[in-house]
Amino acid sequence: MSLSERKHQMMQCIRCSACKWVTTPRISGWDFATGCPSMEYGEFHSYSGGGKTIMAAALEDGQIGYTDEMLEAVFTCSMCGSCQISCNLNYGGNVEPMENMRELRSRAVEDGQSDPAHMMLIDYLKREDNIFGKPKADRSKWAEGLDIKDALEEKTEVYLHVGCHFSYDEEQWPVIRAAAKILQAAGVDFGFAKKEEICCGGRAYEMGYQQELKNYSESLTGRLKDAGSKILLTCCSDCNGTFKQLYPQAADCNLDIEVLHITEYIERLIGKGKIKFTREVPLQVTFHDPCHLGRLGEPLKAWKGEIKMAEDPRMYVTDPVREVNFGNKGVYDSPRNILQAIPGVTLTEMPRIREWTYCCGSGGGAKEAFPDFALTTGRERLREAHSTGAQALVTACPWCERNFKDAAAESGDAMVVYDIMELVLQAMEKTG
Amino acid sequence: MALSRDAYKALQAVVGSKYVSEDPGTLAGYHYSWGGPNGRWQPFVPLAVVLPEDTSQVQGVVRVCNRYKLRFKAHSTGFCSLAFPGVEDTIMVDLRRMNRIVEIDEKNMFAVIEPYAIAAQIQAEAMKRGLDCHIVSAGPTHSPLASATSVWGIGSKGLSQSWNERNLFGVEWVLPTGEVARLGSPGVGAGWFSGDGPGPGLRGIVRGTNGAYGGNGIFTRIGLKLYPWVGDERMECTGSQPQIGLKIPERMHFSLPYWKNWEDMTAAAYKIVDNNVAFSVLRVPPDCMNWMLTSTNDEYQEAFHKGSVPIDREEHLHAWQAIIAGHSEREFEYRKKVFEQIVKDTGGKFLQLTVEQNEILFAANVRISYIPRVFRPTGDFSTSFGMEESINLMGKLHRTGENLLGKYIGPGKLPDHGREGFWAWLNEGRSLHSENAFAVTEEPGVQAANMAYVMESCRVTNSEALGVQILPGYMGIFADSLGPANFNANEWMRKVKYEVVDPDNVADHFTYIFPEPVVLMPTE
Repeated sequence: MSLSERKHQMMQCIRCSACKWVTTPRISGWDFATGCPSMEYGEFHSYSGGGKTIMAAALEDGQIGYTDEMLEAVFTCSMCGSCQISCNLNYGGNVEPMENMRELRSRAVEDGQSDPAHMMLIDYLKREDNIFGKPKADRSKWAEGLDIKDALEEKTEVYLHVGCHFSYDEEQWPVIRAAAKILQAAGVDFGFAKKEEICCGGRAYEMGYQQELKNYSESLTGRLKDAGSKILLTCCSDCNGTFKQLYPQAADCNLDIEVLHITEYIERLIGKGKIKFTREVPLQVTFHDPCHLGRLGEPLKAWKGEIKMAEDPRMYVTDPVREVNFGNKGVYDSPRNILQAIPGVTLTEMPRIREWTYCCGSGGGAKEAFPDFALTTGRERLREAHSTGAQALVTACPWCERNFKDAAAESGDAMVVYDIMELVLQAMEKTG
Repeated sequence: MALSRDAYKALQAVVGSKYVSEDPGTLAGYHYSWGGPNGRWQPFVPLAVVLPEDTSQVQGVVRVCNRYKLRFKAHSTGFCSLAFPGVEDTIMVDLRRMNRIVEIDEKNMFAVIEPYAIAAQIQAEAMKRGLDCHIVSAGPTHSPLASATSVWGIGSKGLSQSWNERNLFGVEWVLPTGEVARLGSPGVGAGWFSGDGPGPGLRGIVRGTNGAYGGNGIFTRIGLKLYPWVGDERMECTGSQPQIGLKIPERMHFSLPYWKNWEDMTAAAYKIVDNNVAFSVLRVPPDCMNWMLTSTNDEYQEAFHKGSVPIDREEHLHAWQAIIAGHSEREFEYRKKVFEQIVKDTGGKFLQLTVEQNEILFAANVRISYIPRVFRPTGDFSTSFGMEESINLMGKLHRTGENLLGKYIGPGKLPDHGREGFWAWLNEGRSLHSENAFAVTEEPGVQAANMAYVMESCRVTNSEALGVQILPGYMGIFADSLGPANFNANEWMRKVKYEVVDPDNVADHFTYIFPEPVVLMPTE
């Protein structure tokens, strides 16, 4: 639905401010009650999900035009979806602030008002199929020395989509290599598209470039059809959210394949006895739920229909009935079950978890356009991790891990940050 | 009028340039509100919005407004407070940066809070100490400071936790002149434990019953009374989003007794308060409970047409939701037993709900989340009546409201969500607040029916002496119409604001009292 088509939903916002906090039943104290990193950073109402919804309505209504300040509020946001979950608690999908924000960004792009940093990223994407501007030819460098099939050349049961971040962030290569070694040790028949792998398009969509999502979804659909794999596996939560939620919902794309995040798959392999932990990892950890693994990874069906006023009893309904993003069907238990299966690991939860998790700060193109915002948000989450007494913060997304590590380095924070794959591999390796 | 550069710089000098904005996009969120007189977009766009971080900055902003002949309007979270400028040339004062719980005095059972500490935060911190705070119907994201100092409101726990206007202890008040007054015990440096003394007690002046909605200045810190809580230090959530319930603690019990008519329900109410057996008692219309027990409007519609909504519009019309609590096992058992006997003696029955449904409704009563969900059907609602009266009036109020409202329900008019929309609370064990609230839409026919109904209900409540009429947030335009039947409160309000507190009318008067009388309807 375009911004114009969302006018009804935008005007359903009652400016209650619920979007600024985690879902209210989950508030467990004064601290760690807020849910919106953008609002915490920008302070004015325009930075909240509701505030952006109101700005979008004002823009659509012709009351306001674009200004630097307005655009800063629009783009200083990690598009984490916390606002949407909090809003949907009582309004049942009537407003959907996240959807309004996505369409507001798309409108800004259409009107030539994209964020300058995002324009550069999209330029890179168009040239090299990744937003980092790194050469296509280097995409599979991370896998050097590992004997992994080319999924475009050989039939594999599992088609691994590595994702741009793991492919190009050399500091994160040990993580993706760990994932590959885990799969190999478990005897999984998998491959990836080597240097032909392309971006999922999710980040571009979040920045307002909706056509990129459609283009990449069509490319991937074709590749998967040719590959004939049974499972599309990704180690990146961003890609997970894109495949499970954005492709069907925003790109009208049915991949026609089982999509799994690596944590879901490893949990399955543990259950089948194909992964066994032989080594103790004595560590007190807390787990950060990536937004795109949880609430933004919740599978949602495409919906085309109308919102109409039912006459008896009178109220707005959707026809056909539309699924609402409540966030319950995200991947929350798999990483926790894995952590609890690792000998020696003790998991202590943060106040903001699961569908009411607090964002790491790196999503939506915010880290690239407003790095101070991303680092501030990352520091806040590190502070929350410290509140649990954990020695390490574990996550399952390269974007989150990168931002936490950057935030820790910038502030001299000693919190150790791991991707869950690193702990899994440690626990599988034989001692001595 | 545009904000002069001098005034803008003066505001920047007070709060810092990062915290002043006159950007149209930023301002959009400060003249948008539900329930205003003009749909969502309210007529006056503020000149700027400022975000002060402490009382001295608030004082500085108010002084700038005085110096440059500007008006100001403050708000906290902006929900239900009609947080928009009611007049031209207004500076919006968003109190978001003043969000601390300064102190919780566990022993003396009060909290010292700033404007943007929300009820859910205060409640969670209080519960850790065996205490609870009153939450008005606006729900967990409202500001208890705003509720206690400036806005009319009530919550389901009013039976044991009173109104927030009474829960107001010490007050720090930035007057429209820019002076700071500390009322009650903080006025003599004796802490925040009392609103009336030692120190100057002016609670009736700063807010009265209805609240001045910002028309008397800005409140920056208060002492808020807390109440004993017998439940767990941290409530355990049950269910899943959005049907999140609370595990009912060992010495608490939720039930939904219902009767055949208002008279029997009233008789039970008297016995309940006389015997002091309930922690909270609330009546909402059956549809409201069903909205709470369904995730979306679509789900509700399906259940309604299948006949599977648990609360029947007719059979369960006369029903209380009640929570019984006891500090000891014996007290709890005694209260529960007496409560059950009262229901039996008055011809009532208990509606059997599932464990999940009980937990959801229990949560709705403890966390206070009915009002946010009432917006779900149509995105808006209106209200009428709003009595503070004898419990004995319940039947007459509800019948009158039902008959009046019935005339305005139908195609092209108000939605049909049952016979009436009365919410009722038994306050402090001695009085009844009963408010006829109903869903509206933005359609012109509905809006016209809403206005006609509200005006007629005002006339009827005046002419039939049905109690003290309260129209939260609209006292400004209704004050002179309703005042004569309410001990000429409008004249006193005008004196307070224009002769004592705000002679230059710097604080937005729109939702309090206009400088000159506004007569919307003849009084009989």
